[in-house]
Amino acid sequence: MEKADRELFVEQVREHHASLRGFVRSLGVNPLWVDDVAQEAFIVAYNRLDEFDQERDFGAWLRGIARNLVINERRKDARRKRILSDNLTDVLLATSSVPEDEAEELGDRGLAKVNALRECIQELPEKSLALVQAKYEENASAQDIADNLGMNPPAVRKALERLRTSLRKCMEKRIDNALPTTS
Amino acid sequence: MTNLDPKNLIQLLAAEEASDAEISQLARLLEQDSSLASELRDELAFSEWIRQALRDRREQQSHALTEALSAQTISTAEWQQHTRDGEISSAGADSLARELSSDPEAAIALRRDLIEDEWIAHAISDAKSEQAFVDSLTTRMWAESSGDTFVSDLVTELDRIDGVADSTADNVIAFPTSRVRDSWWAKTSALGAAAAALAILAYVVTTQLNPQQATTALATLLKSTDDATWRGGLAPRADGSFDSGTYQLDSGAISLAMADGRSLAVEGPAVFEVNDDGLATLYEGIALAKASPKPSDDQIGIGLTSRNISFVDGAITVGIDARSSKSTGAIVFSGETALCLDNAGKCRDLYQHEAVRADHSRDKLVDVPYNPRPFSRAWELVSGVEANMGDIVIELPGADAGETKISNAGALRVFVENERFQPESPLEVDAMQPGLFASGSDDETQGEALVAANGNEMRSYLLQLSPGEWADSTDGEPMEASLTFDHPVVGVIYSSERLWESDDTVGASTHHLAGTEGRGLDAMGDQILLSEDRRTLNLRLLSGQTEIDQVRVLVAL
Repeated sequence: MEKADRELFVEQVREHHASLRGFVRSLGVNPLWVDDVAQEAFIVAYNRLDEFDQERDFGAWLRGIARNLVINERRKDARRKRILSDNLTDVLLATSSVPEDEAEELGDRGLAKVNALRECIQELPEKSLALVQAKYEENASAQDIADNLGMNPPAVRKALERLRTSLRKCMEKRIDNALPTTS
Repeated sequence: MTNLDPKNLIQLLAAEEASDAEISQLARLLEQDSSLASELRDELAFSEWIRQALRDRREQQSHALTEALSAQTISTAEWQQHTRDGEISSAGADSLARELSSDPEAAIALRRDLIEDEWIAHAISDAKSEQAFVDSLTTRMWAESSGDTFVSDLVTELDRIDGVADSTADNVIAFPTSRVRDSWWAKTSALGAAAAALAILAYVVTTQLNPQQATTALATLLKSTDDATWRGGLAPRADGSFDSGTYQLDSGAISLAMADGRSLAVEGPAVFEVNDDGLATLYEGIALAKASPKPSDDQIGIGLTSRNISFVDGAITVGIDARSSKSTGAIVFSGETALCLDNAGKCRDLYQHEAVRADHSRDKLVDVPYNPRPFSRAWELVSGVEANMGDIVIELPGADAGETKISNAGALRVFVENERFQPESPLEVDAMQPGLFASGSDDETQGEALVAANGNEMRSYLLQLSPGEWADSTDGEPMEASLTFDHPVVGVIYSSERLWESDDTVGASTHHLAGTEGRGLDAMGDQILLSEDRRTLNLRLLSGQTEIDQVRVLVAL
């Protein structure tokens, strides 16, 4: 493998990991195994880098690899599966683009969006931040969060839903503002 | 094989763990002892019953789940939520898959939600950071392709990128190849971790360790109607402070300021609890809760719960009607929120001027018409305006300024137009000097730009007098009124032109003013005076005019 190829690959890891992880999750992969599947997709891509046509979209190529990995999960026995459900993954796969055909997919520009989200999260009031951290950092259950914050579980879920909505708006606003204007 | 006693052999057989030799041994023993055979029969039968019972239980659970699914007690949205939590059962996933297969848009929406969840986790969690991902990837790469130079290439590349991005990074981390390097991501994640640690620390300090909290009252009595009486052991202290505990307000209405800035009004007969964490629970009666005027306050929810229901957040003013033992009413006066039925685990969004009733016998939320009237006494206490003198009606949120009830004819009606807003551009108000009378002069008054300093928010009130009705009932006598506001008045608009201009900014409804031109104060004789402390507004309005008189009052929150 040429050194230039490896350098290209390294750049692509940085550029695509956020989008790829989002894509993998969106196919119904268990959240605990998302990084594992995404890394595996990168490793497969690395080992097949010679086959990659640089005229093509690398992100789409990666998604194709990840898609096949997720399809393969369905053939594994239950204990080794990294997806939540075969049937659910089937439905979600059906709505995902076939990578060779389509460059745009849900979750594109992931890195920029994660960076925007990070800024939005920093602006959250303390208690909202505690709620998001408990859910996304500590993976605490709604019941545990409710106990700690003096709420009830459905209220925790609803509060998180509203927080996600406000984070989504904030993220989109920042992304829109960052886009170069076309005249 | 060692010789076991008969009982042990029976247990082994019942547990299906006996070897062939042990079974042969037991058979020989059974031939010699018929009572042993009977014991074995009993033991085997019992084992079968246990298995059967377990099987029945599983089937029962499965049946209950099927029933729940067919009755849709578990909604698709809830299954989606479980999917996002990574905790969906196999049956739930199948049910969701069935729903989504016929609704591709919903499937795409779920995928979008899952992606966002993943990104939020990236943004907030060190374990999901780019650094953690690349560290793990490089380790795997190294393990799976040793002899290759991927790892060192990666480090070189990242060094090059870092060198461009920030050559002065302070933080150093050890990389899997034992190299020590500066890292922009280490810096980012260190900052993130520090921010998170500070946030958690601040949260712990404010919620648990703050020494002030021990000395600050959980709640303080703000206002109380003359007929307010307490029953039972607990009543506010002489200084108006509330300890934690359950209070019974026998009659009248009171308002409280909670320690975190929220306010609460309760109308008796009512039973309510002030909790240790500064929140309130209503068990009986009527209560109205208002969010702190400072939305940046660290709050989730409105601070008022009741029997089996709780508001999530976002609302500015809400009410709970717990007068009936069978159901509890919830109403949103301003803002928007979500209401949760705690026992059933259901929540639904609730928007301004919407109301629902929680049916306790069915654990269900039922839509009901918006009817704020039961809250009129409580509302008066938290509306932020107090009538000192004159015939004044504090209108309930959502009241139509175009409709005048017979009972209100001739009264100065006070509407809370917008409880909280921040003008994006300067708002033109009529020039007014505290302590000096100002008069209406048919749009010839001098204006001044009102700017919300430092992003502060305002509340707007509309005072309205329908002079025809006033004239009919008072033989042309001037109407005099005095109002005191709980926040300083920063702007008054009484000229028609500026009233029209400011409608959109405050979100006023003007449908009833179609065909009206002059709606401000009249040049001939209408007078208005703002007190030196900017809290009290005195009005003297002449009757006999043909058009409506309106004054917009802006207070700074």
